[in-house]
Amino acid sequence: MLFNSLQFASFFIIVFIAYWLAGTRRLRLQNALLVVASYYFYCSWNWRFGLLLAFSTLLDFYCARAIAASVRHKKAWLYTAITINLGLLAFFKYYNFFIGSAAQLLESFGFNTNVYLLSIILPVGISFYTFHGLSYVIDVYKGRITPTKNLADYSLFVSFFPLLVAGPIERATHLLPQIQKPRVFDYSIAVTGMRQILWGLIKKLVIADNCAYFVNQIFADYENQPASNLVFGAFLFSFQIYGDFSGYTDIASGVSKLLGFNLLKNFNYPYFSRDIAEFWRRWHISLTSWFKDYVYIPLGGSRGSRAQTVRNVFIIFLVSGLWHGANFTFIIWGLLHAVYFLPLLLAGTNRKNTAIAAQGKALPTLRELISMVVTFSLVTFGWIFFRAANLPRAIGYCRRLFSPSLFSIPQFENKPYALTVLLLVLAFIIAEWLGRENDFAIEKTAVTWPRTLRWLFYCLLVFLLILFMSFSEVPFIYFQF
Amino acid sequence: MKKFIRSLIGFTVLMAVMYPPLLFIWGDAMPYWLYTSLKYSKGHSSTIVMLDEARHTKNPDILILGSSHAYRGFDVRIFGNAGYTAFNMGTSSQTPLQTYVLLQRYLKNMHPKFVIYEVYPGTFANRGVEGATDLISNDINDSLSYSMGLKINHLITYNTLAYGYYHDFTRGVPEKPVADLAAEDTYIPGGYVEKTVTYFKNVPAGKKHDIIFDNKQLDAFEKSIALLKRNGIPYALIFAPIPKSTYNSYKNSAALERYFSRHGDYFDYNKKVSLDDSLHFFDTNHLNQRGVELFNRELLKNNKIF
Repeated sequence: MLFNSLQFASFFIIVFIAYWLAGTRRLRLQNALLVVASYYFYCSWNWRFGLLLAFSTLLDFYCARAIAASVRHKKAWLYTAITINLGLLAFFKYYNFFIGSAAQLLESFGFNTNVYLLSIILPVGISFYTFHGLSYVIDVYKGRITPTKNLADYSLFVSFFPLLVAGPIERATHLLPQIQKPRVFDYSIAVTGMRQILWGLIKKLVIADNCAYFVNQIFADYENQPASNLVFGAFLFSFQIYGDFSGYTDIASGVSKLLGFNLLKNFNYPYFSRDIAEFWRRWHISLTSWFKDYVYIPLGGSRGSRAQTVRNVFIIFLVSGLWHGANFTFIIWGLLHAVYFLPLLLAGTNRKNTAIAAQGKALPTLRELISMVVTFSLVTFGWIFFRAANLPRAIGYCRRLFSPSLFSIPQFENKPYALTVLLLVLAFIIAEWLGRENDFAIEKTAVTWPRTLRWLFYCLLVFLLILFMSFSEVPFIYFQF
Repeated sequence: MKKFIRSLIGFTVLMAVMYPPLLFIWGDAMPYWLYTSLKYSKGHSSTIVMLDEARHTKNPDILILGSSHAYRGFDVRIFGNAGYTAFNMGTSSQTPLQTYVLLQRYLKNMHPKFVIYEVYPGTFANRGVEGATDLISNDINDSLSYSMGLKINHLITYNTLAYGYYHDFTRGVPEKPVADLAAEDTYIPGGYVEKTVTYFKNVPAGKKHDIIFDNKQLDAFEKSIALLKRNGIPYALIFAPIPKSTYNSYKNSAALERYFSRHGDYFDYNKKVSLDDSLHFFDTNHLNQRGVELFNRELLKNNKIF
């Protein structure tokens, strides 16, 4: 059940009506309803996934309670939860990759291997809800929160359908208190939620899915394309993945607002970053902060020697790459970003750009513009590894990229479509730039206008969405993680 | 909450009211080539000129129906040289849904002596959106356009149809339509479109797949056949040559052949003419002029038709 499907729209309308009809005084009923809806949503992919989610939920719920209740075995319970959670993730996501890679390595040294690879489906969203659960037990262990005694509340924290399959990766300290207290319907928040859903749909259906048409063609057949087409393909993939993932997050956040919840911010205009460190403070924020809090800082963060800090940075980026998928392309992507990050770390300038570019101004300075273009180019180059089916194809793509045809005019069979997509991306960049100081680009647009004008503006946006949306069903990229 | 529901309903009503004018303004003001869900492109295919000619054509020996495989594959000049008057009513991506509309509109007036129905299987597995937008843009829209749109049930068709009715209403039919074709295409009176000879360079190995027919297309195809029979017009079903790489990618060719053979005299010219993918085609689907000449000469030898 995709967010951009009529099936989801019908599902959500039913949930929304039942949820608010249940009444704000009947908190338990509302929470129970959301748990049932979330499991229905999740099981619509495959009912077996629901069993795994339930197991993971029960494991973390009881381990957290055992951690809080125990005096001498806190650590044992913590390690039990971490081992089983990561074990499940490793089994479903990484078993074939590690076994297959090990076999390949042994074969390259002349050993005969006869490995057994599993034909298993990767449960949708397993990386996301595993990290929800892990953060919860670790926070309980660290004493940051007291574990909830209510299984339904905890189940809702893990399975809340807007964020179940592609995040943001919530923290118990942020979401659980919202689950435990009565929610009141707020008109202005609900309207903001609707605006955010609209913007999310535009990002996904207009930007990401239209870009996907060319990205898929170019990456599948890069051997026969001029280098200028490959630049276009990589450029469009940058917007495909951003539109796809941040669009999903906007829809998730908007849907949550309609139900009275406030989710963590996951994107903050990452392509206007002036260096890689800033990019990582603005891209998939909930994952970056998760790794920072639960891996980087426990490893010592930047408190040790310079060599230790460099090691920790490499570990973080390596793990972040691996989190995205069991493929060497993700590992290289992660390491590439570590290499990008290193000069900033060594120069001590990694926290130089914290505020949004050209804050309070209409246009950036030339220096800011150059920094943004350079950072975007580095990120785009990294996306080639992220997008390629495997490492040899990623390397082949990069090799072909730096060939004389780099300076030719891109060639496409469907030129009007390519030009339309390019125009859409440019319009999108302008809209994002104008709204960069808000939570999402159109958050404040037209809100102060008279109602008739405001509604006409939204009519125009809906019209443009319908007019330019792609009709090919492109699944959300991050569902596979 | 009540205020929210009221606003939501109010906005939905406003959206429904505003949508058609926005669509019409957009269609009038924006360039046709912008890739949107409104695909109204009057005069940007040969269809507009061909249909204008069709309105004045009576009793040709042969009427050819089908997609671009028809209007790029059956050269009316070759038939003319052999002593047959032929009219090619092929239109862009014409599927059986559009063929049925065209037959209902033009068959009675034109009354051909024989019909060649080009049955490229891809058009039977297609929803018919592209074929519909070409026809809506370039023909006069009536209730048949509406029922075709309903059967296709796609937003692109609905948008184009709404704009088509608006355009017909506000501007009428041009007296002397002109087609703005690509530089390498030339419209030949009688409906054929000749393309400057180019060759199919990168022949990909077609991925094996089944052609799965759309039930609505089958229904329209069978209705067209019934219409021809009712009017006493003999016909033949022809599968014009396509590159071997494409042809061999069909896993269920035997089933397709069985289906077409059940509905009339069926001839698969992929089995009858020996053509080379690179020399006689210009892409994964279409014959170049060299291929057309070889195919048409072979077709003229078919004594069940000629």
